[in-house]
Amino acid sequence: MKIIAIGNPNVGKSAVLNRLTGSQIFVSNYAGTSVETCKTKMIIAGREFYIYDTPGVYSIFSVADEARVVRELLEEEQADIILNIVDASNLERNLVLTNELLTLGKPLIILLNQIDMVRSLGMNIDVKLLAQRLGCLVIPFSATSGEGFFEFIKTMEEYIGPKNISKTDHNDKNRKTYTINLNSEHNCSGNCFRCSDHTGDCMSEADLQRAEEARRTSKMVSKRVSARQKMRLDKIERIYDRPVLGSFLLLIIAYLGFYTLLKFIDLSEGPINMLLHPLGLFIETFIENILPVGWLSSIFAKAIPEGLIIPFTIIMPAMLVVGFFMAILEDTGLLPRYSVALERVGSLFGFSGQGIIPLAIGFGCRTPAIVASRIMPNQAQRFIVVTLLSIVIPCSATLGVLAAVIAAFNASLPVIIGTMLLVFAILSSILSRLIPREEYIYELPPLRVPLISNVINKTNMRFTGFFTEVLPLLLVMNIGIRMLMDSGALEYFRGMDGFSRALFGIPAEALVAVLITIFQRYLAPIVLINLPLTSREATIAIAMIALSLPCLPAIVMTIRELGLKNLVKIIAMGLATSFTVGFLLNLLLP
Amino acid sequence: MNINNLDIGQKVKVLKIEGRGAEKRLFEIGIMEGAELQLITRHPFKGPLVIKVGNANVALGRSIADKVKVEAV
Ligand SMILES: Nc1nc2c(ncn2[C@@H]2O[C@H](COP(=O)(O)OP(=O)(O)O)[C@@H](O)[C@H]2O)c(=O)[nH]1
Ligand SMILES: [Mg+2]
Repeated sequence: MKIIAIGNPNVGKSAVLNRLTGSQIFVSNYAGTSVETCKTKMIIAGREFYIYDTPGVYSIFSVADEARVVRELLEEEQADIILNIVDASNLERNLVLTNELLTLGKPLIILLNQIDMVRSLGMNIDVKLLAQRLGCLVIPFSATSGEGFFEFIKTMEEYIGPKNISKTDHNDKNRKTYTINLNSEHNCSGNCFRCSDHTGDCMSEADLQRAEEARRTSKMVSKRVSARQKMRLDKIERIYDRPVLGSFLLLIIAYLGFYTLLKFIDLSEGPINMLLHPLGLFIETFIENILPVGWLSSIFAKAIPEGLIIPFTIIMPAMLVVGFFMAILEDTGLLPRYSVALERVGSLFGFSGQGIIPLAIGFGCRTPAIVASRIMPNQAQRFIVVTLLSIVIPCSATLGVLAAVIAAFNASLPVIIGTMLLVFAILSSILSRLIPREEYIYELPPLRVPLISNVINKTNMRFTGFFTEVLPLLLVMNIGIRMLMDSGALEYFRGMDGFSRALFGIPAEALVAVLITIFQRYLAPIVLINLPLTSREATIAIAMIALSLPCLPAIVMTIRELGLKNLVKIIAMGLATSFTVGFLLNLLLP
Repeated sequence: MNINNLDIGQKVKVLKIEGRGAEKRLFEIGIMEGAELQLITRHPFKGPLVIKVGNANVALGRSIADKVKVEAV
């Protein structure tokens, strides 16, 4: 039995499915969390039910990507039931989508989620009347408290049992059904996707009727029964709504986040190193014992313990703190408030205010930042942000190692930072010229108290990547680089020396280091540190490394989020930027 | 009158939405003819407005906010 869950953004679709099926879909308090569909399973009365989570849509006829995904799913999967998840505290708008779904002519069940919120607003919804008007089952529900769970199970049992809701409800006289062909032209009822939406920017008569109907229904069934509970959250929300004070508070929170990150890395470094040291020694002896004495044994014995240090002392704490902090910002609903407060700043650089969020996260680690770029209103804007993230923004690991190399060669810090800022400004303004900006329309979620279990769960899910992806990858890379250096393979690049010096003013090995950034940006400086470079050469090489390619984890994430084609574009731009920077600095620096 | 000129906290009703383009997106989020709105926040330096529609808060850029014509209730 297939059930497709559909609802407006941020109504609690994922939370409902997690509650019903015990799945662990990401739940966050802002619109645009999930852009993919996701299948979960539950067993009721011995029968398997597959429930699909879908991206939030305001209308299934919308031109937005999310609506296309939902339409495709409706066409591909012959759903037995559509489960419309409705935010009961914002009934009127949610019912517009419900009215659209009603016209699909499929059995429809409505979960009136966030019923707890309705109560604390002092409202009451006449569920019976609503069910009668819509001509389908309506179940009050709360994903946070679990209310309505048993009623849902009972309903499902009845559905598969002798009393079939599709018989009783489907033929309800009150209910107008049309066969909507979401994409094909056969059997057009005058109400299909094509008729409803020709150009993508105007509404059809049917759209307006559905909205009018939703308004009437919502007025009819909602009643104020008591005064709105004065919640502490209301007061806090009002403070964040103050433009200056709110922005100031948001900045303080961001500052505290960065401060915690640096302090945590600083404080944890000692104890972690203390644990790593004996482990390193153990691994070294272990390898020397099992491998025959020789080149390979000495490489592994050196590279593996060495390769553990940076992941464990810098990247692991960074991923933990950034993951935790992000979860808090997401679940409280503060994250989208940054986007509003910083909309102006972002527009100077040609992207919507939301862009500040992933860019800020990028200073911690680029991989979660690329995921966070989902907050951008469209793919084109996401592309700008991911490009800037990949090429310009240094993550915490990169920052640490860059600082070490700058100190080692006495390279010019102002030149490097100045170049990075300049590249950021130039790159973003070029990109924003190429990509049209959309009008800024974004729904702000209500502030909520984060559920501790959800925060822990999310931090945990984001962190598992450390052991399965980041650590193994970095170890292998580190071994590779060690081999490259110890084998003297770098000598082969001597032939390029003339070319490299003429164009960029750096020796060939340093150019190789720049190319290595494709694997992991912080590994490149390790190569540099073993080379005899002058301060000028080091400045150029570091600037070229700082402004080059995304690291391997970021590449993997970019493919997942934006596709291979966009990744190729980003890599091409990264190479072009790096070489241009090297070329210009070589011309300009004394 | 458009929503850019409102006082903070003022409640109004939408008369019409001028110009094509974002009309549909506004419609989807609940800003349509006859809808009741309240201005919550106006960010400085021509920043976005935050508007209450139903029980939802929506942030709108100034250029689009200019197109929403309203009357006092
Ligand atoms: N008070 C309350 N909050 C809820 C309820 N269901 C979901 N939420 C919260 O609403 C937010 C959005 O949930 P999510 O499942 O990510 O929504 P989705 O975008 O529709 O998948 C989260 O912060 C949830 O904790 C509910 O029944 N009551
Ligand atoms: Mg979701």
